[in-house]
Amino acid sequence: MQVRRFLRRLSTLFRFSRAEHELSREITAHLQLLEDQFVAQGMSRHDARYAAKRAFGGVEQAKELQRDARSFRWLAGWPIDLKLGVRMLARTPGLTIVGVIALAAAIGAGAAYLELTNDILKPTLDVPHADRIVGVTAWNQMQQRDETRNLTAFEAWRTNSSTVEHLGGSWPVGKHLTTPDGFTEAVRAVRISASAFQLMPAKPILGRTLRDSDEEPGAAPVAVVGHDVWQSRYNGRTDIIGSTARLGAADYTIVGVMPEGFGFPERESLWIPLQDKSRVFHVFGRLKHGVSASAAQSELSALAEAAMPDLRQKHIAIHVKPYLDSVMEEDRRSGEVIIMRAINLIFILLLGICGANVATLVFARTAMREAEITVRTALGAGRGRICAQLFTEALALSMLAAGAGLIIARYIGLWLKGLLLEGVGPMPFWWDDGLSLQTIAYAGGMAILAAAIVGVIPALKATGPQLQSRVREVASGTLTMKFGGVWTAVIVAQAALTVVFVATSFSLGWSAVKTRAGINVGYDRDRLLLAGIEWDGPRPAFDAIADKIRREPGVANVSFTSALPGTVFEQFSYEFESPDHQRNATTRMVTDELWSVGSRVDDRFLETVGFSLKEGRNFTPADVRNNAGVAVVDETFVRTVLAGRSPLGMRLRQVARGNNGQPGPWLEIIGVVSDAVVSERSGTEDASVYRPGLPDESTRLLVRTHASAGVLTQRIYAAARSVDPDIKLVDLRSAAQVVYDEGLMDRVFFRAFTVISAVALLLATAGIYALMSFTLARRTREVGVRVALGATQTDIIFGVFGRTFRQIGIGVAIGALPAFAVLESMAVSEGLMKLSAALLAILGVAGFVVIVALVSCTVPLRRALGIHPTDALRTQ
Amino acid sequence: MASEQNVALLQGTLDLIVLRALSTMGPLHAYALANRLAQVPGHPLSLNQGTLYPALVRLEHQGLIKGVWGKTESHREAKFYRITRAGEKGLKEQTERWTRISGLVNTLLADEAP
Repeated sequence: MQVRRFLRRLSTLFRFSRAEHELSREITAHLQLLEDQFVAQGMSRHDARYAAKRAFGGVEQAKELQRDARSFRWLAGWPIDLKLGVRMLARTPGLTIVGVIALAAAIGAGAAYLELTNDILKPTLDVPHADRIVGVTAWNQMQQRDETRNLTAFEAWRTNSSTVEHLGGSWPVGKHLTTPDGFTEAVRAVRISASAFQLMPAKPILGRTLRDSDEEPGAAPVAVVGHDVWQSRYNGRTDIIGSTARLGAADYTIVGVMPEGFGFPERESLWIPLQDKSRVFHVFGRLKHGVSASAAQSELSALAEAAMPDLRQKHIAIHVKPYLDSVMEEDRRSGEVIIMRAINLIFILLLGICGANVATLVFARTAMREAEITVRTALGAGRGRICAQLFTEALALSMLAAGAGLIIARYIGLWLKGLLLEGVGPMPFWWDDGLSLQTIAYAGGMAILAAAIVGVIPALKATGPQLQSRVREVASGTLTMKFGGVWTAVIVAQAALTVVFVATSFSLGWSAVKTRAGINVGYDRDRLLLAGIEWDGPRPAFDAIADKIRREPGVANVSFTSALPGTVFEQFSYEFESPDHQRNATTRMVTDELWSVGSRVDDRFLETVGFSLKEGRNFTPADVRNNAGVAVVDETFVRTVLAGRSPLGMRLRQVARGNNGQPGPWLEIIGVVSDAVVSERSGTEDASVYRPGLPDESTRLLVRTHASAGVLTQRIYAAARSVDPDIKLVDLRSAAQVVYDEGLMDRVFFRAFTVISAVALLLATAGIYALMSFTLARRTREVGVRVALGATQTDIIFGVFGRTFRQIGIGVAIGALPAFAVLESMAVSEGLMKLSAALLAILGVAGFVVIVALVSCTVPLRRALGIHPTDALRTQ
Repeated sequence: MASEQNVALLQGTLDLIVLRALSTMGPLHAYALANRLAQVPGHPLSLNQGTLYPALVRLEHQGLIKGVWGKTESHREAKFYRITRAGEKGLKEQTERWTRISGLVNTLLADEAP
């Protein structure tokens, strides 16, 4: 029966006007019958009508009670409430603007962050049968990495697999692209099976895609180019088909142009046929209908074992995974994922701050509508009904803010993408610019949460138990609603959260940026170029390439290194052995695990970067050739790791990690060089150890130039190509640019936090101001009397606003503790920030909040002081 | 405080009283029902006639009564409520429950009376 009633009540929600009409009709008939009765008793029609109404009782009240009984009243009035809410937005535009900005900032930032993390952590493929598209990897269990060089089982899979269709492979092209105009650059090019274009069906803008026949021996060399290459290197020419693209020393005829956004397997922009199938880097395909990944994995493993009998000995396991998992595994380590997800809480906190601020403003408005609320209650509206109305009004505001927030999120997304394009290069093809449904739902959820904070708290306060007693006061023209206990908590929390949020975000952002900019790093970054080196043929002649580049005008020196000074950190313990000449013995010492920089360099490295030798000697060409057991350390290393001991002659090695690890070789320290500083740090992070080593696959080319580096890039490409057309210099940039690009996320966070902090401060200001005006409006009479009795401005400030100041003071004090805890653990202990700076930042924000409170008083106070006592007494 | 108790008592029992009236008197409109309650011999129930409406809609939602528009003797239109089969059953159950509870309350009150 209860279920039946519930359903009936629910259905009445959607038949509001019909039920309302029925009720009116019934009550009219009832009154008519009563009226007839009184007429029959001898009354006049006129008197009988009034007598009928008296006998019936309050008509509106009866209607309200019946509405409550027939439906979920607090829900039933939502269309009217919404209309009222929208009207209210228009009636108080100031509040609407501040409220929408505040909530939109919080919702927009949260939505943008969610969208970004989802794009990074769980992107989706937007192609048919995306769930069946898989990547096949060969996992080397011993080395804990994917085997990428030789997948000889590829051919066996392609011909024999009955579980995977459109199976194909790819192998990146480590060569420069040279266009007919003679311009050379490093584009992401790949040799790829034609099946890729069936797996990712995209119609070429011009010409055709690759075909199976292109892979046959003796087929004419052809290439398909991506939209960006077509635009930037071929000026978007429509007659590009048939033009030449030179990769290394080989010419390819362009047969097609792919549309924008096509970048399979990852972010490629040039595709040539996979002719040499003995070398495959990456295998992909589509599970046949109804086949599971594990079934495919079993079959491919069996085929691989047949084709490569030593597969088990090499501890290689074949894995079949969803495509995106196979290409972006390392980006999804669980710890980082949890942190990235947890950051969402910051945005919910931010919404809490913004919501509390807007709630303050809304309460001030609600208090002004006290009479309306009280009268409605007297007419029979329940507390739930009034709360529902105020909630719906707040929802109108927060939904508007959510809409604005989603627009903001979209622009933030595009802005971030722009930054990423600039700093990291093209986005992977699965990157989705649009907002996902989940993000839109999230914004909706945030809007409801905001409405709950903004609408319900003031509503509960406004409809509290003392409400009934207000009817009399309304009648006598005195309004009594006050900021009470709940409100004290809101104000305290608001001040506290403002301090926590603004102080920590600003300080963290600032310290992060400070570490990157304006620090003397110990070498000239603007005139130092560096590039990665890729090749897919025989090992390049590094010496000849270096000599050729060194002879270019404007080039001062050329060197090879495994890492730019001060950019790659490793963590391990060092073991030292130093000769103790007095006792004719050696002393040993093992350090704790510490961060330091280790790189393998050649004999010209120190000179090319611009370090000065402080002690001992540099590496000789023979040291480099023979991979000699020597090392050069920097001054920070001597100071922090060796604690100032004399380093020359000392031997060091890396201590073995874990049970199976091998210790590093013993290295004798032969020299000390000046520091390469990346940031102001107090720890060992900048302690550097340089070892001699010949260039290998991780090597980067360093070029020291006399003039600005930009103009030299084409000449460096040309010089490298003239020695070896089959190598590729990747990411040729100045060291300054590299450091700038690496600071990308810091800058993003700094800017985001600056904007958010500014909004939070703006809100705190608006909130405190509203509070002060409100307090004063309520106590105008009191101020008037105090002024009449000779109170000074100070007396008024502390007399009238004392309570608010105490609340703000308590909030600031409460907020300072967690703010300090965050700064201490995240910045001070990491050496990013001095303790005094952290304290200063917190004091600064706390002071600012208090100043805002003081300034907020001045306008209402001046107004109050200008009130003549007699006017004040007449007010209300 | 006293008036609040009265209302609570009424809300608890009004549904039962309405059902009983419809069961014994046959279909009635709200006005007739109110008159009937006001004329209970010995215990005239004084209530604003409008307070019947929540009870009527509640009972109708529960399927215990059903309202149909019709004409009164004086040819005025009115909504006539009649008790349904479920209503008769409900009335029986609620009457038993009421008897049990009121008996218990009476006993308790009698025991504890000075």
